[in-house]
Amino acid sequence: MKKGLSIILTLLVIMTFAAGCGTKSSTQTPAPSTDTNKEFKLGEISDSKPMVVNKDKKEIQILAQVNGKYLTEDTRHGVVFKDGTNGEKSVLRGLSNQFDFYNALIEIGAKPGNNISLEDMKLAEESVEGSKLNVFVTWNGLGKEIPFSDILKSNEKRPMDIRFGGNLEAATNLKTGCILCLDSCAVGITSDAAYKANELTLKKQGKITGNPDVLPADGTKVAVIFRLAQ
Amino acid sequence: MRYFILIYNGFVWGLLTAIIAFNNQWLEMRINIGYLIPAVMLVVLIAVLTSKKTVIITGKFTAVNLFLCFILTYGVLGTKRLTVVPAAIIREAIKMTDVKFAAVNLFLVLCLTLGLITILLCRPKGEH
Repeated sequence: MKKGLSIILTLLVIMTFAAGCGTKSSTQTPAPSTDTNKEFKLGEISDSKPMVVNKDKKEIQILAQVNGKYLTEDTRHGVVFKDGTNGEKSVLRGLSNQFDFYNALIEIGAKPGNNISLEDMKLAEESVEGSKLNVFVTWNGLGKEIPFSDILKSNEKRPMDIRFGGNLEAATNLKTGCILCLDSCAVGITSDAAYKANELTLKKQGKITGNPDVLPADGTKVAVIFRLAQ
Repeated sequence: MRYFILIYNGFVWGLLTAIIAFNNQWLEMRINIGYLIPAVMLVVLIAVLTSKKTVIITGKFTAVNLFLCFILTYGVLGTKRLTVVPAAIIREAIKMTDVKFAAVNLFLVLCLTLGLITILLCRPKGEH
């Protein structure tokens, strides 16, 4: 009896881990909406259409999801595609990929900076260049767009300066999934020029988390809006 | 029961190891920290099963181990992070990131509690 119970309990634990590790990531398929059997919609974007490009407004909207881990932990990643290697390392888990996002930026007329190299990431001396973008966030029930900086909490007050870094080659080679980095980056498609390359990691002075007083709960879907600054 | 006790204690040590490793931001940003849990469990299993000396893990040891690991975890994380970090590590490890932290925490507490009760009730002699 004891032996049987021991074996059953042991197998249960192993099966729990094996089931999780063996299945595809639950976020590879479009995440279900909070209403059962209904596709999630937020304005023009939805589960089946996680990115919308408006060439007239020079605007891209992408669907993302709050990662509650980073409401208490600090990170240098703002938005990362869920299937990238950094997919679980960002404040917002992007539901459309970094390559479609890059192409959408080109489509609205943004110019990539392509000025940060992987070597620059060891030095914290260069700031990302490229077209300036104004970035906003909204979610169901908020009723308005708020600046991306409002969903972050930092011990340093630096106005955000989001730039189209480009970095398509690095993004393709490294497959991190990075869409928006919180300091200048050699891999992220867009990043914040207010901080030098990899400054948050190297200098360890700035600490950025999601703002729990502003962001909705872990798992809530949000829209991130990138607008080309005129 | 001896294998279950090994798995149980290995899981507790694995989770503690993952929580400590999580505080190293360089590491946390680069790997799935949750993989440390089965790695430590495997090391414990192999170490005990291949040990030439008799390893005794009793129910009492398991209870004290769980308590001490909890105290250490609380010391490392504090109250607020305690409700987020272990759950975040576990759901990332099992690739179920849509599951809410509360659900993971409940599952974790239930498993640890039921597991400990089972070990204490079955009163293993603890010889491996």
